[in-house]
Order: sequence, then structure tokens, then C-alpha cells
Amino acid sequence: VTDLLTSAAERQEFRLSVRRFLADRSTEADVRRLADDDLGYDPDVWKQLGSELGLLGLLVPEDQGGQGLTPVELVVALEETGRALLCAPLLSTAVLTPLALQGISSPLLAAVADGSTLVAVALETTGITHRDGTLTGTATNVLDAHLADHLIVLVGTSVYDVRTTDASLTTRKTLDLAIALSTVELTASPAVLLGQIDVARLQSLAALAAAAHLVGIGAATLDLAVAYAKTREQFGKPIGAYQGVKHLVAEMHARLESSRAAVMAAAVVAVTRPDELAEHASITKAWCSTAMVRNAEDCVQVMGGIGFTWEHPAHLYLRRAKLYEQLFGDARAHRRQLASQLGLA
Amino acid sequence: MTPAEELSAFLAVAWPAFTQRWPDPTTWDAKLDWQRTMQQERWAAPTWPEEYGGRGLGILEMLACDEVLGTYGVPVLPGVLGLKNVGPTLIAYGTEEQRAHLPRILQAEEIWCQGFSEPGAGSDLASLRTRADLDGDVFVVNGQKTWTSSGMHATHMELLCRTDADAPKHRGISALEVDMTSPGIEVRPIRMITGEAEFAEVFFTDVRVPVTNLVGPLHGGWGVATSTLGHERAGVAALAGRLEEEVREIIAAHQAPALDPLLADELIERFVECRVGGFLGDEMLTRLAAGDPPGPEQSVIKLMWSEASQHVSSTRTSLAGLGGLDDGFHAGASREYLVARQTTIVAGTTQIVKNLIAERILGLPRD
Repeated sequence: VTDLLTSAAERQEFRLSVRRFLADRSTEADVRRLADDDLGYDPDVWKQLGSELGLLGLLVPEDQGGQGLTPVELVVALEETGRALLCAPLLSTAVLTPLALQGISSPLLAAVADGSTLVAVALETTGITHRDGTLTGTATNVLDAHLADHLIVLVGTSVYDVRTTDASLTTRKTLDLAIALSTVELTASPAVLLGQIDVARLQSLAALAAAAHLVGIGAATLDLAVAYAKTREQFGKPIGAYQGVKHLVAEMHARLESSRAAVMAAAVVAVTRPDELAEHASITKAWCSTAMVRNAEDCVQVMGGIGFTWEHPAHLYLRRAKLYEQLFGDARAHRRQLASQLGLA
Repeated sequence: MTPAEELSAFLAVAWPAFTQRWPDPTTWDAKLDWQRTMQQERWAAPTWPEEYGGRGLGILEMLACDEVLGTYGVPVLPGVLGLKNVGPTLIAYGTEEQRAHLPRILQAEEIWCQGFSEPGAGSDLASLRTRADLDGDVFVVNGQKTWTSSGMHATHMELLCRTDADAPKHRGISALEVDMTSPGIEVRPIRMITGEAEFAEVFFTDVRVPVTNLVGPLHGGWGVATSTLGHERAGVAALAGRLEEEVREIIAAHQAPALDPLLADELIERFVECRVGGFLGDEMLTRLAAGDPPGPEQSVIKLMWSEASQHVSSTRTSLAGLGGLDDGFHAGASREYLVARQTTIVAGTTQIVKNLIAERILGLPRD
């Protein structure tokens, strides 16, 4: 059994430093501003995520300019970025990229860690072919491709580096106002083979990362609902005194605690018992997708009319939750994988 | 050798010998014999301190032992309430004289029940009305208890009763130990949803209980009862793990022929919710092992475990189908389905648990 790199106390300190940073630099006003912004992130804050928090190089090995940390520390950071609805290409550049380059030595990693390069990873690829140093084919739903300088393209277990300028992108806004997905067309696009990786591990950790971000959203929406239920009065008392509201909020808490426990259990398994990661990651993404969207929905419900307005942030959380519910496999897709792993399909 | 390994070595010899001795191990006499057999090596209540006949095991060691017991499929000990709840309470609050019950609890010479719920005091236990009036050196008890587990077999009861009718409801309650053979006690079985009678109602008419049977302080019974319930709730984490094991067994039994895809997905949903419940249980056990006291977060596990139990029992009836219910692998599925109705009622209904979570953890106002 491999030991964890950090203690629970160290992780708690890390959590609080990320939370303090984001409370200042990913405010509701920032999130709304970036939702209207073509870039969708703040380049100054991006640099600071690297220089002040070390988040950009969190998963990058130390000998390639990063922190050399693990999924256990990652999920702590991602819960906080979810809580603050951070708008930044963190998941693509700082999470998927080092995971896709696991065990591979590449100058891209140092450029990711120092914040000078943005990289997107094409996980959904079908029928892409390699010929004479080029790739041809289509990748779908590529997160942040329109921002990236480089695209990491998976063909089987092979990892290729393609310059975004050598690909043709069709970019669509999503339910989340600050996040866009692209269809990437490669037509004899020059591609450099970087190495081979364990694709299943990449997919599991991508799903786990999305689940961690969802937990942050589930926590923030619970906080909003609790605060409102304590202060909003109807029929002469706080609505939180009525069991109809109280029970909704209690269920939100139970869903949050269970989701958080699942994310941490899966992250620990990723480090200590990698053979069991696929099962844990699928359980976690299946559970958190459903549970944390429910929290964001119930937050709107507890808020009542105010929660249905543009001005209230409840919809910002709901939008992000709904997107992340489907990102890297929705609950049904992960249950299908579990069924196959467990011999039921 | 770890305690779990020691237990395993003990069972490897004792269990086959027992099953040879008792062709039907489910009879009451067989169960009594099994508890005494277990206690020969101090396995009846291994979490009790050694000086009282236990092994002083911590909760994590106990959990490992429970897993071993699960693999052998041994029966629940007949004195379980005395072993798990009353014994630890007597160790914490009892007088020297009261602690004399402990060896008899271990040997199944005494079977204890708990007289808590009443017809008018279920979720609102503190509103209980069974009264004990002091008359010289005896309490005179009148009233009725209900849903008393082990009530039909019990030789003794830990009774919660009102000793001060004028005090606020939580502060006028005392805990008494009562000999069930005392004149004025009548026990009747309650036939439950399955048709079986595991519970009893107990009637008290001028039952005389010596004052020396007061457990803990006079009017301090609420604290004594809360301590007893605390021991009960610590077991929830282990229950979560057991449910997960059950789902794994169901999955293993349905590898072939291939299940209907909708049914397979339903079963995987059960797997997911039970595994997540297990993660929560593991987390709580880790905190308990680190010395944190049991806190309100157990409510979350109780809530999830109880609902998951009902879901599993329901999925199981679907898997069995009309023709396969109570047959082969799914023997007992109908009973399990019916019994699972109680999980959201006992030890705090789901509605009370949600109130606790909202009020004690999240700080919402009481209604």
C-alpha cells in the first residue's frame, strides 16, 4: 500500500488557501463578467492560479516543473473551484493534460505548469487515423479547444500533440455560459507522437475530477439554501422551520456528505490501489452526477421565486452542475461500465 | 494474531461442533448454547473491558470480527440487547451491585430487553408516561411499554419511566432495572408485518422495584438512555458494509443468464448506493478510531442505509420475479422485503432523522 503524500491537516490548509484565493478572485461578479466574455477566463487570475496556488502544475511531476501531487490533493482543489464556479481552462490544461501525459516527458508539461500554454485533450475520438506524421478524423466535445494552443489527441493508447492552428474547430457554447465545447476536424494535420498511456486510468481520473468539482457545487448550493431557509420568513417564521423545507435541505446535506466521501475514497484508491480505480471512479461519477445536480435543483426550489431569477446565482450553479453531470460520462454511462465490469452485461 | 484472526481460529473449531450438536441452530435453546460457547473464549461481548469478561476491543477490531462472524453465518446472540446496550450502560452508570448482572448477561443466564417506546411515546420518546412513584424503599411502576425487542424471552428490562411528573419532560425520567418475573408484569406478543412475533408489549400494574435498582441518577434517566442508544447507533457504520456485501452476492448470483438490461441497471444502482453508503461508514469508523465521539453525522448514514435497505429488498423481489420469489437463491426475499419496512421507522424515523440533520448539523430553527 502506497502512503499518501499529504496529511489530512495539510490538505485542509491547502483547501483553505484555495478557498481564500477564489473568494477574492472568483466572485459572483467575476463569474457573470466572464460568462459574457469571449475568452471566458481571466488571464491574470490564470497566472496567479499557478504562481500563488501552484494549481497549474499540481499534477505535473516535479522534474518537469510541477508540484508532483496526486488525485488526493487534486480533488480538494477542484471541490473549491466548483464551490467558487471558477471560470478557467483548469480542467483541460492542468488536469487532463498531465493525466494524458502520465509517464511521458514533454516540454508541454513545464509550459502548462508555468501558465504559458493552454492545452486541450480530445478524449472522444472515433476513427482517427495516423499516416506519415499526420492525423485525420474527428474528435467531439473537446473542452476548451477554442482556447488551447495545443491539442492532445488520443488514438487508441497513443498520445499525439497537434497544434490547434492545424485543426478546424466548430465551437459551441454550453448550458454553462463560460464553458464551450468544440468539434475538432483533423485533415492530415501534423501530429507528434508523444508516447503511450493507460487510457482507462485517464478516463477514470477525468470522471473523478468532474465529480470533485460537482461536490463543490453541491456544497455551495447547500450553503445558499441553508442561509435562505434561516432568514426568509413566511407565515411569521423562517421557512427553515417548516419540515417541508427542512427535509429538502437535510437531503441536500446527506447527498453532499455521501458524494464527498465517495470522491475522497476514489481519490485515495487512485493512489493506493490503482487496480480498483475504474470501479471507484465510476461509482463516484454515477453517484455525484445525479446527487449534485439534485442539490443545485433543490437550491432553486428552496429559494422559490428569487431562485428562478437571472439576478440570483442559483442558476449559475445549476448550469455548471448540469454540464458536469454529463462531462466524462453521465450516471447512466458509468453504470453501464460498472455492469460490464461486474459481469452483468 | 489480530482479534479477528483469533476469532476465526475459534470459530473454525467451535462452529462445526455446534452445528453437529444442534441440527436446527435457530431454536432458542440452540441460540443460548451458542452464546455460552462463544463466551468460553470471551467472544459474547468482546468490546467490554477485560475485567468484566470482554476483550476490550476497539470499534475497528470489532468490525473486523463482525465480518468474520458474517462469513460463518452464525446466529445473532440471544442476549444481544444486554450485550450491546445494557451491559455497556451498567459498566458506565451501574453500582457495584448492578454490575453483578454482567457475568449473567454474558452467560445468557439473563436476557435483557429495553422498555423505552410506549403507545403514546414513539419518536417523541421523552413524553413517556409510565410512572414510578417512590414508596419508602421501592418504586411502584404503572404503565405500558410497546415494541419491546426480546420482550417475550427477557428475564430483565432496562425501564425508562417518569419519576417527576412536574419537571420538564427530559428531566423527570429515570432508568430502572426490572426483574421481569415481578408480580404485576404482563407480557403479550406483538405480531408484526411478517406474521412473526419478535416484539412484545409489556404492562405494569403496581410493580414494586427496589430503589437500589435505579441506574444512574434519579431523574437522570434521559442521559442514561441516550448513552445506551449511542452504543446502538455506532453499529450503523457496520450495517452499511453488510448491505454492500449483500448486493455483491446478488450480483454474483446473476452472472448468467444475462439479466434484462433494465433490471441489470437497477441492480447496479443498488450497488452504487450501497458502496457510497459504505464509504460514509468507513469514514465514520476512521473518525471513531481516531477517538472522536459519535456525533450527529451518524444520522446521514442511518438515513442512507435505511433507504438503501428498502431499495435492495425491492430490487430483489423484482429479480426473483413472480415465479422465483422465495425459491432457491431468493429464498426469504418476501420476508426481507416486508422486514425492510422497519428500517425507516426504528431508531429514529426517516422524518425525525431529517429533522435532526437540519436542526443539529445545519442549524435550522426547530418547528
